[in-house]
Formats: sequence, C-alpha cells, structure tokens
Amino acid sequence: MKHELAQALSQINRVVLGKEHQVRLCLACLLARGHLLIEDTPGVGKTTLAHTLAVTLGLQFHRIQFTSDLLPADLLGAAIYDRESGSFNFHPGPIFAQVILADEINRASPKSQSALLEAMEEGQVTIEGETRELPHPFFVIATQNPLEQAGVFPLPESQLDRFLMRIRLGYPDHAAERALLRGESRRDLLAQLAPVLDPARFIALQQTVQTLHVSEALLDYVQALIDATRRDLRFAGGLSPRAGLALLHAAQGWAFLDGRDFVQPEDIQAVLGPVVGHRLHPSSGIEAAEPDWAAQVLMEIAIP
Amino acid sequence: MRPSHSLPELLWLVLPLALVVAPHATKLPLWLSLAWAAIALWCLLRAARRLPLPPRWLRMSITVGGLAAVFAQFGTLVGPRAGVALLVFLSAAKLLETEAPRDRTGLVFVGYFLLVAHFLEDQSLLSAAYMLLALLALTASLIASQMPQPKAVWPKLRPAGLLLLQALPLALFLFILFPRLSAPLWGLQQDDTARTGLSGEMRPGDISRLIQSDEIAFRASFDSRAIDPRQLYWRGPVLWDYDGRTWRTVQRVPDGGIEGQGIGRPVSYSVIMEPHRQHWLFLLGLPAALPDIEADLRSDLVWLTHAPVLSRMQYQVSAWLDYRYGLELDDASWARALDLPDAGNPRARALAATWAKQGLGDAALVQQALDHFRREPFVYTLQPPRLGEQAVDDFLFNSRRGFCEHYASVFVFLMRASGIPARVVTGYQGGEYNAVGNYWIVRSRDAHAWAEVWLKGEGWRRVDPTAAVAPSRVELGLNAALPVTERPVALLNVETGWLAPMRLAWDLVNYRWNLWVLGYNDVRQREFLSRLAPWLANLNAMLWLLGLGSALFIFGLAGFYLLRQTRIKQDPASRLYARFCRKLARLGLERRDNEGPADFARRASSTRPDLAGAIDEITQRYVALRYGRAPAETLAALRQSIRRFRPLRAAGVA
Repeated sequence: MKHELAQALSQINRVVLGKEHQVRLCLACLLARGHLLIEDTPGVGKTTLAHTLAVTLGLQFHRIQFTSDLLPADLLGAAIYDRESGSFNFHPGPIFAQVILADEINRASPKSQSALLEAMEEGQVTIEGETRELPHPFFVIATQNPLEQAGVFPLPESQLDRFLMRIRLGYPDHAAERALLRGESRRDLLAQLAPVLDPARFIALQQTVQTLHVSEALLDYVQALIDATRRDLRFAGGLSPRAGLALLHAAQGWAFLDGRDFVQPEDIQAVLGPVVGHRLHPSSGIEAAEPDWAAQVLMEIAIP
Repeated sequence: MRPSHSLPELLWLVLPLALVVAPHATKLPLWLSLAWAAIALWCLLRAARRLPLPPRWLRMSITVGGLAAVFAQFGTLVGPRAGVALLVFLSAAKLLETEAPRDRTGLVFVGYFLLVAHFLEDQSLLSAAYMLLALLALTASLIASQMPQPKAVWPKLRPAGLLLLQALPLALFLFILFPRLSAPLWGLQQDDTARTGLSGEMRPGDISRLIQSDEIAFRASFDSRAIDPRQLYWRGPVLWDYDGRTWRTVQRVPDGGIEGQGIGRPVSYSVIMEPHRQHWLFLLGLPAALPDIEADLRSDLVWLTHAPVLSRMQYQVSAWLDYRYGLELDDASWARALDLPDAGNPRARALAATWAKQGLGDAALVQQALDHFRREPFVYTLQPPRLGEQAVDDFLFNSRRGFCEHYASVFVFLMRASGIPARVVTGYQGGEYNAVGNYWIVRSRDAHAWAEVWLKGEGWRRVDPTAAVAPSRVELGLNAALPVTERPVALLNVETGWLAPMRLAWDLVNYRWNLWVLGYNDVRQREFLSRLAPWLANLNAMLWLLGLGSALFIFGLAGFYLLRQTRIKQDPASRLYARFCRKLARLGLERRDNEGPADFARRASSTRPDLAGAIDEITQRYVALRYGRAPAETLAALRQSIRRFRPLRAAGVA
C-alpha cells in the first residue's frame, strides 16, 4: 500500500517539478475524499498537476474549461431528441467522470458554478427531473486565477467551503525552473504516464484513511484551534463544524501518506494552511497581507 | 500622510474622553472647554475627511499657547485646579497628533486620571454613578484600542464590564482595609463659589436670604426615642457684639469651662455635616460626651474646629436636651452681655426702662417682653420693609414686620437695655424628618436665630421670641409659619406634592452613601474593623492583611490559571513527557508550546545528534501513547526511558 503511494508521488513529482509539498497535500486531499481548489496565476502548472493526478491514480478524467458563457447543460449534459428511435436520449455531459478538472472555475457565471458545486456536494446530479448518480470516486479539481485579475466571478464563501483544501503552487524554484526549461514538454510527459493505481484500489485506500486513529488528545488540539477562530476577534467568523471535520480528515490523509496509523499534531499543522486558508477571513481593520495569514495565527495556539 | 485612525476608531477615543472631561467643564475656564470641544471635533472631521496631520509647528504652538494660557489663568501649573486644567488641555493637544494605537492607550490612561480627579470636586452618589459609566466607557475604549472591528459596540462593552466586575472584590477589599488618614492626602481646596450658610455675623435680612436655599446643612440621626421638633435648636455661632445694625461673634470668650447640669438621660446623636468652610460644628443641647476630634468647646457652648470644615464630616455626640448651664457669670461676660451702642433707638430704650422700673423679677421681665411681641400686632414675614437708621425703634414701633433675626435682635436689645444679660444665638431649628431612614435633614432654610438670657440661679436660658410671634415656626416648621403667598415656590412643590416620598427615599440613599462610603474615615474604619475582629483595628494589622490579601488575590488568580493549564496535563504520558521536556530545557532546548512532539524531536536531535537515539525513542513512545493506539505497557517503557535519559551539557554545543 505504501509502496503504491510512494510510487504515485514520485511519478507526479517527475512531471510537476519542485512541488513535493503541494503534491503531497493534493494526494492527502483526495485520500480524504475532498475536492481540491488550486489557486494561482496562469502558467505555473495547475492544469498539469490536476491532469497528472488523475492519470497516476488511474481515474477517468474530463477537463472542462470554464468560460463566462458556459451553461449548466454544457456541464451536466442534456436529453436530445433522437429522430431514429423517436425518443429523447440522455447525452451525459463532461461531469460524468471520476476526476473533473474545472479549469478557471471563477470565469464561469454563478449559475454554472453552482451546478458544479451541487454535484460536488451530493455526488449526483438532477437533470430534467431525473436524478443520476455520478461515478465513484468523484473528484473535482478546480483551478482558479487569483481574484485580482479581471473578468472573474469570485466563488461565494459557502461554495468555497465545499473544497477541502485550497492550495497555491507558486513559482518553481531556481533548479526546478532550469529543469523545466531544459526538459521535455510536460504535455509529452503526460502522454507517456502510466496509471499506478486503479479506482478500486484508490477507494480501498480512502477507506483505510478513514479508520486512522484519532486520539482524545488530538481532538483537544483540534477543538482548541476551532475555539480560537471563534473567540479571536481578528477573525470575521469562526470555523464551522464542517470545517473542523475537514481539518481532521485532511490530517488523516496526511498521516496516511506519512505511513502512520494515527494522527499527530504535526499532521494538523501541515494541512492547516490549505484547509483553513479559504474558510477564515480577517475582521475589517486587520491587514492580512500574507495568504497564509489565518494559519499563521492558528499556529500560535498551544498544543494541549 | 493619511490619518491612521478611521472615524469609528477615533469616536471610540473621543467619546469616552468627552464623558470624562464634561463634568470638569463646569469648573474649568470657558475657553478651555471650548478649545477642547473644538479640537475634538476637528479630529473627528480629520478622520472623516482623511485630512493630513496639522503641521508640526502648528501643533507645537497650540501646545505651548495652551500651556501659557493655563499658566496665565491659574498662576501655576500644579495643584488640583490648575493640574486638572493642564491635563484637560494636554489631552486635547495629544488628540491633535494621535496617530498610532499607542497614542490611544496613553490618552485613555490620562482619561482614567481625569476621572479620578473629578472626585476631588464632587463625591456625590449621582456623580459616582456617572463616573462609573465613564469608567466603563474608558475601559471599553482601552479594549477598542487593541481590537479591530471599530463598529462593534457590545464586544467591547461586555469585556469592559466583566473586567470591572472582576476588579470589584479587590476594590472592596482595598476600600475596607486601606488605611485611612485622618487628614486628607491633598490639601483639598473646595470650590470658591461660596456656599450659603450661617456666617459669624447677622444683619437684618441675612437669614431670610438663607431661607431661600434648599441646600442641605447636615443630617442627624438620634439613637433613641422620637424627638420633639420643638427641642431641635441646633446651636451655631453665638453673637455677642452689636453695633446698632450688625451682630457679631467674638473671637475669644473667657475660659472657665462649662458648668452645667443635665436633666434626665442624655440622648446620643450623630451628625453628618456638609462642608461649610467655617469652624463651627452644630450642637444640640448640653454635651455629655464629645467625640475625639480636633475641636474645642467654648464656654458659650460654641464648638469650633481647628481647621475650617472643607469636606463632609461626621461626629457623634451624647447630650442632654434639658439642661442648665452657666450658673456663674464672670465680670467680663457680664459686661459684654449688657453692652449696647452708646446712643440710638431711644424709644426702645425707654420701653425697656419702663419695664425695668416696674420692679418685676428678671424672669417676669423676660415674660413681659415676650408678651409684648405676642400682644402687639407683630407679623412674621420673609419680606420685611427696610428699616431706617434707628432700626430697633423702627421695627418695634413702625413696621412690626420681620423675620427671626429681627425678633432675636430686638429682643436681645430690649433685654440688655433693661439690664438683663443676653445674647443672640444662630443655628438651625427643626428640620425635616425622614421617616424612611429615621433621621433628620437640616437645610439652609431651617436657619434660625434666637436669644439667650442669663437669669440668676438659672444660668443661660433659651428664649425664642419668634415662637411668641409665630408659634407654628417652631412646631411645624417654616412653611406653616409663613403666609401662603410667601412660601418659596420650589419648596412648596417638593414638600407636599406626590414626589415627597420619592424625594425622601432619594435623600436616604444619599445619606447612606455619605455615612458608609464617604464617611468611612479613619475612625469609622477602626470601628468597623474592630467589630469584625478586634486585632484588626490597628495600622500594622491592616497593612499586613492588605499586603497578604493582595498577594493572595494575585497568586490565587495566577494559581487558578496555572491549575487550569495543568489540569489538561493530567494524562500520565503528558506528565512524563513534560519531565522529559524539562530535562531538555536544562540543555537550552526549550519546546515551544505550539510545537508538535515529532517536530521538537527533530529540532532537538539536529542540535544534539548525540542524543538523537534517546530522543527519538522517547518521542515515539510518547506519541504512540498520546496519539496512537499504543498498549498500556508502553507507558512503563516511556517512564523508564525518560528516567534513563540523563543528558549531559555538551561543551561547545549551543
């Protein structure tokens, strides 16, 4: 089991250079059955990362490029009249895949965004009165440009909450950059990738992750963190119970990747930034220049 | 430069400060109050419009100009009045350049000081309540200066209120135990606005002016039975010298002590006197026991303090209400009690002479004079006509309209003219009984003047000629004695209206406040403490308990929080791990409390590679116990490995 995961990690790292930490976070997120939001400027490898993840895990993959004129039907599919059989046949949209890469999700209109987000929450879609199950496992890996850029519809907070983690890639470091410039095209590399896992295997891993031991002492720590966000007036609002669960699940994924069968405080700290970053907002009057500001505040909390 | 404070943030500073400064405004020069308000408004405007700071030279010149103006106004920069003015001005000047959060904190502390300074001027219950409100606002302001979300009000008021509530036990403790000084700490100067009250002189019209005032002179409570208001002659200054118009008190009377005898049982009463800036204390009856305060009782039963009464004071006296005193009259007093101007008022002198010639006894002569007032059409009125040059004659034979000072004055004149030693006594008569609190409220309007005549074999006897003219004055009080049209309007409403019970209840609250809070002086403190525990009532014990109590309070609080922290560490694995951490801390490897054990182990091992094996083993066991599913035996293993862990301070390793 460990072997497979290590292999998967190293394969992804061969394509996405110099981002070992982020790759690990992504994998932890998927192991914890969470959807993933990758936020960064264009061209740093968001799409490549998502694609590599899907291929490596052996999951069926669809990419949807979100644009402002994308309609929900473009996403979900529609019933189309078939002249030969004289009936309506359902043509499933690109959402019927195990991994959806929702590229530049914040370029789409809120209507299309919520169609996707509903699918994320329910694991099913309702089209023309008929409810259809989505494949299993079902992941959304969304990418978005930072909000400073023009022509975007920022995701509302309630929808941001559906993503287990939000990670930022950042520019590659010097060595990785050089390797990128020298090396093969990423697209070619992607084409050569072979899956390391298969869906059944991955579901089994996910189930194992869920059983990782969480001690009372660790729950004390998680609660101390949640309490802090609710008491500390630097935060505009505290973490929701769902966010608390997200933190715990993500930490389980991280601990599993670390080869342990229990969660320790360091796991929480490792996933803290990506899990709470998009869920906590500073009060008015607080300058939160750092993107990791909320996690930095919470890192100060003592471990009980 | 952009102002760093937004308008709501600045409001959090300016409004509480304004609350604190406002009560001072009545005592400050007008220009200062206006300047403060102008500067505060300008600062708000600056924040709203995002205007830049005024240039440095302007700020400097405003500050220097203000200091100079305060100095010019008071002639000094120290002392309570000038000091408060200075602080008020400086708080405005600081407001001008408030930029950093630190400035706000500093200003709030100035506000606290100004708040306390207000008690130098006014200690009433109402102002204490107001100050409490201001205190809450200031504390909230302090919290606001450390907190974002300037618009939220409740999240600041609530912790401020909680903080103040938490401070309450300590405040009470200090209030009760902090040693009181018999003299005030500062030479408190009360305001200069003269309080109405009795003075050492009496001219026609003096007392009728006093009557207009509702101001409280003192409150008195009796220990025993109901008191007849007719007995309540509160004795103030005794006036001996008369120049034809004005009666004056004398600075010195012959010593000789007080020879007197009381009849029946003495009553005990307690008086809380409002400051009147004079020396005399009001006394009822012939004292049997006087409290140990810095005051002397003169032979004419005038009780004088050494220093003017500048702050509210309380005293308890036991005295006989029926008494005789001054059976022997020395020559000097005799002469003084008969002294009249050489000339003037011939008709009055003639009248007195005819009485004297009748050869009645002295007592009968006194009665004759009183009968004269009763018989002739004398009128008791607040608005007597002006008297001419020969005031006594004019009053006796022409106007016949007058107030108590007229009657007392003319009566003593007649007595002296007919050869009976006499003098005028001023003070208060009667008062209002507060049935709710069982005490008497004596106000300026109860001021009264009466006479004392000396009779052989009897000594000084009190004679109240006003009672002969208007008996109801003494029996029922001023209002009943005056014609309806002359009753002071303000007085009429409160005394009889539906508000009367409320007014009395409010006075009771004030009375208790004065008695138990303001009147808690060194004497009362000793009394109270000795009632709690006799050994407490000395300074040393007080100081010891104070120190001990405060220390206990502080350490108790600290202990409480420590306990709360360690309670979490009740887990045995945690306790062992804490011991391990202490061992490492001795090597300079301190675990931060937000550092996970594995992270700490990594850091410690990289600093001390020689210990890496042991550290790793201990940490793994601890983590397995605390976070993993380790079997119970691991605890013993952990204990053992920690016991074995005896690291040496490695030389050359930081």
